[in-house]
Amino acid sequence: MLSRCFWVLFFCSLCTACSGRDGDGPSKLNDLRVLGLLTDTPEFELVSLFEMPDQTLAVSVIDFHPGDVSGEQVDRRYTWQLCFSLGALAKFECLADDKVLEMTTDAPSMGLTLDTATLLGLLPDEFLTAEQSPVSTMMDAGQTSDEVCPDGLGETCSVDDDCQVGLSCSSGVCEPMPATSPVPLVVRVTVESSDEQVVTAARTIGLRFTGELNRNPKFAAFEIGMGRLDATELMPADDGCLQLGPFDSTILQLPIKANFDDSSLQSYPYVDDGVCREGDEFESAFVSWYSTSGAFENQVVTTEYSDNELEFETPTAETVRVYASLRDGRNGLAMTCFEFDRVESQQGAP
Amino acid sequence: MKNAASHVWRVCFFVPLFIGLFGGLSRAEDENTEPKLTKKPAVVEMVEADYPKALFDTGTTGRVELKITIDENGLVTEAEIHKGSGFAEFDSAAQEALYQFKFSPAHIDNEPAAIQIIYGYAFTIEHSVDERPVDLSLQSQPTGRLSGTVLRKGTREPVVGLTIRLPKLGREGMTDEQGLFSFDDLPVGLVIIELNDADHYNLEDEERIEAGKDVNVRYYLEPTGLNENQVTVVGRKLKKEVAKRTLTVQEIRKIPGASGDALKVIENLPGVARTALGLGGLIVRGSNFGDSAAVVDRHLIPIPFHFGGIRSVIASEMIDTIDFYPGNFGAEYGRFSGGLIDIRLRRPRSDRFSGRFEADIFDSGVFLEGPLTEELTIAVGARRSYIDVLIGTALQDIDDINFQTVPRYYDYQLILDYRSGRHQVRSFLMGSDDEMIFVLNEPPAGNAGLRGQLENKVGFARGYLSWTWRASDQFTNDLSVALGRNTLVLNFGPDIRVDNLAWQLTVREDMTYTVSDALKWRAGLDYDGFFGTLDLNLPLPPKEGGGGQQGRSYSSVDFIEVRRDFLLKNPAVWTELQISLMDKRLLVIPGFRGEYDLVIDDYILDPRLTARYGIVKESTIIKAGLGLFSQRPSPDETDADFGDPDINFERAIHFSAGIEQKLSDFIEIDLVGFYKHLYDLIRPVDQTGVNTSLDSAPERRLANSGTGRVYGMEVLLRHSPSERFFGWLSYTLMRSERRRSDAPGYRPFDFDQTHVLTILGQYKLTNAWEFGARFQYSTGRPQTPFVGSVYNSDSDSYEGIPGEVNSVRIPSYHRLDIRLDRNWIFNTWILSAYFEIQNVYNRSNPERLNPNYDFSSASYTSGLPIIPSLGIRGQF
Repeated sequence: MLSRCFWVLFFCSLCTACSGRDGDGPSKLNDLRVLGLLTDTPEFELVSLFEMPDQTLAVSVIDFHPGDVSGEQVDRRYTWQLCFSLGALAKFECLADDKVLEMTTDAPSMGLTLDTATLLGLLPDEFLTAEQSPVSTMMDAGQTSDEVCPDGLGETCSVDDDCQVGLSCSSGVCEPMPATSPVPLVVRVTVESSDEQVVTAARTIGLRFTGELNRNPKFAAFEIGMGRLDATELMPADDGCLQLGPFDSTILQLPIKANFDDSSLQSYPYVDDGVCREGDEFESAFVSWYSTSGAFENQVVTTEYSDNELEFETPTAETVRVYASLRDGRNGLAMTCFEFDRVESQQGAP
Repeated sequence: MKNAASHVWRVCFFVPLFIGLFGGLSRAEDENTEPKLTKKPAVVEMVEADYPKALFDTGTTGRVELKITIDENGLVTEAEIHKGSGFAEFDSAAQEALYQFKFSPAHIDNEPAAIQIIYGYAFTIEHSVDERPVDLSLQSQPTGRLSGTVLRKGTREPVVGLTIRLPKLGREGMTDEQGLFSFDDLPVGLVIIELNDADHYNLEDEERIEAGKDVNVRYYLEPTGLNENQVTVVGRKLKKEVAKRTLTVQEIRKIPGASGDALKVIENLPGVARTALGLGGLIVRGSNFGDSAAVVDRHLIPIPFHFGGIRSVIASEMIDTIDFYPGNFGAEYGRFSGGLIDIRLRRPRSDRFSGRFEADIFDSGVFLEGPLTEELTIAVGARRSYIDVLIGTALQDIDDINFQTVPRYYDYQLILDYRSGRHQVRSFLMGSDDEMIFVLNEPPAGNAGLRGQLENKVGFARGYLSWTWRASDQFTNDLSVALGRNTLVLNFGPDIRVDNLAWQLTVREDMTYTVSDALKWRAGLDYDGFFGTLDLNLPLPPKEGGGGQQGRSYSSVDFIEVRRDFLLKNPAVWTELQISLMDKRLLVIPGFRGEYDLVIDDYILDPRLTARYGIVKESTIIKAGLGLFSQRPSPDETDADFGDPDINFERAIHFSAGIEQKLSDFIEIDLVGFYKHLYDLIRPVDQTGVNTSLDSAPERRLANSGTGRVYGMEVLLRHSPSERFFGWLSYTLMRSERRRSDAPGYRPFDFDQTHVLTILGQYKLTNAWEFGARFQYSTGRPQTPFVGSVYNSDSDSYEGIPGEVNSVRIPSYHRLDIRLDRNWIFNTWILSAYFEIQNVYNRSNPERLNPNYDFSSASYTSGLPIIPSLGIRGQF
């Protein structure tokens, strides 16, 4: 059973588990990097888009260049693309090359006014004519209930009419229309720095038909060394980095812990195999850590095991920048950064 | 002159030579069993040859070697001069005498059978007993008796047909089937005893004969070599395939790097490419590793190796022969389109109980066999690894991996064999279990979701029951059934889940009817039923070539959940004719196999043809084969959610042709060229593996849309085990390619290796010390490079963008293994130890191209470093 794929799968799992450990890992910042793409909200409510056109889609890229810390001025150019795509499954390739909205900026953010015409203009032609397409799905979605798990879910049926409003008959069972568009919007950005480094990044922007709109998560506080930073003192990473410290450079292990704003992590209903279930972002959320110096004990921590430590090899005087990103597992994202100096004498501690 | 006995005859050596050993175009083969010599023939009535008077008068002596055929009644039916004396008179006299000899018949599989042996006859001139000066005082003195047993040192097997001389008295005798001998009416006093045998070191002893007493002695003769190959029949089975390679136990035991593991030795044969470290399986003639299979007594075993290749799942002592077919195998086997390993179990020994214990750095095993009754024999074996015990603590917390259960495996086997008359009933039970659990504390770079506990359990158990009925000399029937359970568990973190239990029932009914010397008909029915539960939550496993699935981050893979029962039924029918023509120099075997698969509701009809022709009988053979081979999809491939119910059989046309040339008594070369056309290969509908449909499931995931071609040549230059040396050179030159139906051209297969070379040999330095070495070389495997990546902000990972599939190669692989064996032969048991060093010069062999977290650079995952190991083995 599974004779032809099992060992490949097992082997790949082991290889994946053990790969990528040579050289610097992803938490070490020493080249041009994109650390995240932020939007006001991780997804758009499609119905409200119909009702309230001309909403603005604001996207900002959190990028890093070593010059940001050293003070060296490195110009960057941002080429943005907006299109419908299958997302990561298709490596963020657009569904149709001629249905792409493009723009270029010198700043790490862009704003775009979204309306239905813009959206429809991005859809591939065959989707506009296909019997079952995002367009028809959108139209159908308008007729559905607001519930992700409407009444009548899972009842047996033979045709769609046997099911309640908002449900369709699939394999003899009443199933709801998808809560989000199976084909999301995708934002791609290519960052080119003046020292000829190029990085491409992308993210999806979900189009929600029913259910509560997802929101970006939030940090509550950071515990750094013996000190604590409340969320009110933090600022989003795209607004710059908070200056901390200085720290004694003889401190080679610096405990760091991120605390989450529990209220920003939502629970949500979803349908799995015809059954309505309750998901919780608290279980899927994780924090990624990055720094320009030292090495984190864990590049990624979860809500369950959130303690971390930044370890330095030598007591070197330097400026260290640290980024932290919080992802809720549903494309919601929060980012922050702070910077501190490591100094040779004991001038202070957090 | 004959009665004057002025000469003595002497058995100089006595070597069984099975009919058809070298030529393969002989007679009386019964292919439904693996024949095994269970009793050597022994002289029961000898006739002294007439010493040619002219030669006697001139004091000329001589020695003749004759190849004689002894029938199942012990009569000599043929006596050819194998090596003449140089005097025609000696040759003809010896030939005439040999025709009058009577032997106790040889037993093959415990039944009397015809056999061919080399028999040495010496003409020497000595004083005859009658001519000795008569000591009247001795004649009047009382006499005594000397009797005894001659056994082989270490194994305690009786030495049959051994000449025992009392030179001072001019008396000679010979050991019987139990190794017994006796001399009556010996004069009282010291007698000198000489024991001479070509397979053993000579022994000289003296005993004191006492009046009226029987002096009973026991001698242990040390063999000149362990000669383990003598216990395995290697050639009597009719050679009818284009390329079938059979190994002897001696070769298996001593090959460096194989740790005495029978199945692992196959990796050293032509046509077998290297797999990646830890992947296991066999890449045979450019076929994918799942396309080749292993059968035990004709029934499929799910996995032949523990943990992808550390050890085979069956003890080598259970095995009689292993036939490896890289292609063009007979119609009796199907369901796989690559190669085949045909493992036949041997009958446990029926003369006495014996056993062995062995241990090395990986595991320990025990084996015991012997007779329960005259008809019923038993063998039991078991093995368990102790990696977990020895290094478990050290592995408990290495960096980011915490082992909860360090890799461990065990296996067990039981054979009960009953033979009575023309019936043989065999029951065989075997099982294997592998387990490993570890926790990945920190996810690998760029794959934040890939973390948690990885639990992997693979196991199976099988029960076999077979009944062989030799109804007559012409007709043999084999009915066998195997029922077993396969378990597979692979859980990783919260998402990846494989938890499957399946039962497999296979039934075979095979029959052979010998119509005449020139025609044999074989046919059979073959049923494979497979039922169980498919419980998966997995992404689509990567297919050969990888394509767009390569470089995906864990977060972007599309998981598919399947929970359902499945039932596969695959009945088959096969038949073949074995036609011998041109005085049996030409053997033609047309065959045919039909299969029907109830899941995909389709059938296949596979015609097959092989032929062998002896240009020079027993030394030069040309051969060729052409056939169609089909492979049904696996259960996951036909699953509605995970695969595609509409896919069909994968097909392959095998063509091969070659020549076998015997260069000397020990050296032969086998050269085979081959071409394989593969079609209807199962491929993902979309190479990226992406569901572009708006439904939750696409209309089709898989299709029989791939084709392939494999061509090349294989060379096996082999020195069969001689007194001091065995070894071989195996070389494969091959190109294996694949193509999608919509692709413009062929690309290299994942495991394509242009050159695969193995040179190995083992030399016996002394009777106690042996040295062996193995060198392996293979071209580096193709890999798909990454040309860039996209940062996935949704999951904080990178999506690698693969370049042209398999467009670069990792560096070549080569390594040297050496092995030193030491044997201590005691009277009743043998202790062996070996010291082995794998990868002597610590070559850092690249196994895989391993990209960094953002695919901007790559490094190689290296294979095993230098590994010294020590093993011991005791047998009695």
